[in-house]
Amino acid sequence: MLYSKKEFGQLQLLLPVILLVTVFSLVPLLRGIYLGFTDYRLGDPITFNGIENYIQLFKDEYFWSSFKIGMVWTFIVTALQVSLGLGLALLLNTKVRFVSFYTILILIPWATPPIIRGILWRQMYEPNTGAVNILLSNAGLISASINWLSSFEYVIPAVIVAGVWGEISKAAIFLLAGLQTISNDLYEASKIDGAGIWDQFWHITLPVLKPVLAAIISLTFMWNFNTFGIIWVLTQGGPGGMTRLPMLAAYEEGFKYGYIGYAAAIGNVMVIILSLMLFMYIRVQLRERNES
Amino acid sequence: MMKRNIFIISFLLIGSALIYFTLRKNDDHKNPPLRFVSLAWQEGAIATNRSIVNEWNATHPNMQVEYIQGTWNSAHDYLVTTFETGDVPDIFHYESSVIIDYAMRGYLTDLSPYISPEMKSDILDVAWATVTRPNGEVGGIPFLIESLVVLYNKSLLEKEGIVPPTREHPWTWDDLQATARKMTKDTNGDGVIDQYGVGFGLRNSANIIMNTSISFGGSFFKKEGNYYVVKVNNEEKKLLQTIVDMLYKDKSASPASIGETGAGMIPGFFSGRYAMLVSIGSWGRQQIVENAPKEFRWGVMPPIKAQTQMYGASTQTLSVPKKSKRAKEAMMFIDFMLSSKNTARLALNDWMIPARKSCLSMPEFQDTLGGWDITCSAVSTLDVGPWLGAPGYVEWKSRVANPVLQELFAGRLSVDEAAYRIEHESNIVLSRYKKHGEVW
Repeated sequence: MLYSKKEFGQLQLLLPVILLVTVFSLVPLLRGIYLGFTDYRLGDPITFNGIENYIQLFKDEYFWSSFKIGMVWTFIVTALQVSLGLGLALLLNTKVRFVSFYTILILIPWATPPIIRGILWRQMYEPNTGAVNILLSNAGLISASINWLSSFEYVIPAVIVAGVWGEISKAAIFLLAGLQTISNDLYEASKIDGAGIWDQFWHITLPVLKPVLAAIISLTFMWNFNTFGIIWVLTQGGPGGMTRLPMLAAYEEGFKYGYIGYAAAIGNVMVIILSLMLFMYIRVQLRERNES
Repeated sequence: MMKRNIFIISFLLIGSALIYFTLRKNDDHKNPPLRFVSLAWQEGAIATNRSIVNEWNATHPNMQVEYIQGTWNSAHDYLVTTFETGDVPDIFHYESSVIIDYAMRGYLTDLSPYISPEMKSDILDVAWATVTRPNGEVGGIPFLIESLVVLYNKSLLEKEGIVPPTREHPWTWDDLQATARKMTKDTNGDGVIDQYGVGFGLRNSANIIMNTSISFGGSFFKKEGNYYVVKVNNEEKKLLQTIVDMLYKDKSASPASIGETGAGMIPGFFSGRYAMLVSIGSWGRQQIVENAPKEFRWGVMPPIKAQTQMYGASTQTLSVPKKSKRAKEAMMFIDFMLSSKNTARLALNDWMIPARKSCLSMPEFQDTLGGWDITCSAVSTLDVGPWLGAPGYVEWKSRVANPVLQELFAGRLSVDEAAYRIEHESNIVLSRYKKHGEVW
């Protein structure tokens, strides 16, 4: 194939990026997929074993229990992040003073790496000196301090609160951008027609925002399904495996126990499940839009 | 134009970075330093490790050692990655139960040909047993022995007129339980118990339970033919039941024990919330010496007797990866680092039992101050558990034992249910290793 001089110049300029993406992204990715079809175990040679990993995975109680936990986590955290994010975006979209100051404040948790967020929350939940226990007991809500992250009853709500907190701002910023595209004329026109705030929200804001919402829900869902850092720092999957999300399970298989091939297979399965779910969600969204 | 400049600049930057990293290796001088990864974490221990390395470097200009600070939390990931890539440290510090797993995977240099007769005879047999495979291969040189101790608050026991046990008259678990009941009370009369007899650190309790089970005549792991099976018989159940009773029936063990580590219980021990800290690592004494309030008086109890006073032990070790090309030099450094004198320094500063007989006879380790006398005399009651070298033990501990024990101590399972789950899930985990045909 012949390239024009201009195209060739462009290609040259893209080369560094292509090179980097190939070396650091594409090769590891393909190798990861391949390892999912081998019995690679740390210390042993690698041999191809077809779908054996997947047969084993299908029967693996530990994986399915962590998959269930992953689903609960993903649905609840995504729902909370998006709905609270929408609330925040609506607030920021009003004409309050110092909006940009608030926006920066809201961005801070998101700008903090998940590991640091985890450390912060671990200190907040600390049974003897943590802020959460001290606040609740000063308010008279609890009599004895609770070990949030080691308690089977409280650990899931506790990690969900920590998980939601850090990422609300992401949803809020995306949705705020969407809100700002809505023309004020629509609201003013509806006001003349006698619409209240709720009517405006249901009949103007939400429908216009729908594509943005669909995008942010899909992305957040994907990110949450793949959560690792914050949970690892908070609980390492404990107590009793209550918070062992699928990513943690894969990490343990690979690094802790040395079953790299099997861990890669878990990764492959998770990508497929996630893609299927997102595919169905997006199809429904598109169909709805086409109908309307 | 602007865009193009940015591209060119980034291309140059990436290019020069690549060139720098490929050429850097060739720049190194002929004799790069041996790399030593230490996991020391207590302040005194880090200082001792560093000064031993400095002393070596001062006398060995042609064989320098570089001190690299590792952490217990990430050591495993770090080491496994280096084993796989070949960019290994020459000497690393770790712990016997993991070392044996590494040895079985072929990651370690067999050190047995390099061990001097002096070292061989001076290090305790029980310590050697924690790192030696049945074929005689040695995965690491043991230098510190980790043992569990019982600490007590002297003032609180005295106030109740309780005489602490001595080496000649140790307590049984019944004695401990009875004392714990007596010491549990509501001191300020507000209807809430504010002083518990004992505190445990049961967050990840598999180690504690396994090592203690030996004194009850249990061991969880039994050998059937060539393979290991896990059995939770009456001996093992008795230990579990004793702890559950203290938590829920007598209520003499603080509920905080359930989710805390041993170290996490120490502040409560200072403030008098727990009269005794049971089954905490002997290094915990360092934290007390360092941080306790001035008037705090404490002591160490001899091992609590069940059927016997025997407890399981593990050791901290120095090993050489198989992929290190300088095993002989590395072992020369280990010889120096773990000489009798240096082992004593390391043990004193990490507050653990030294693995050398010559150290144990030094006066420092017979001092009553800091409980050294009782801690070190427990050496005769230490044994290695039969699980040592069982293929899959490391996975079993974190996948089966810790989670099930967490549920048991949180009151979500009865002892019988926990026993059933441990046996059932053990079969799943251990069968993976059977498939690989591994034998110790």
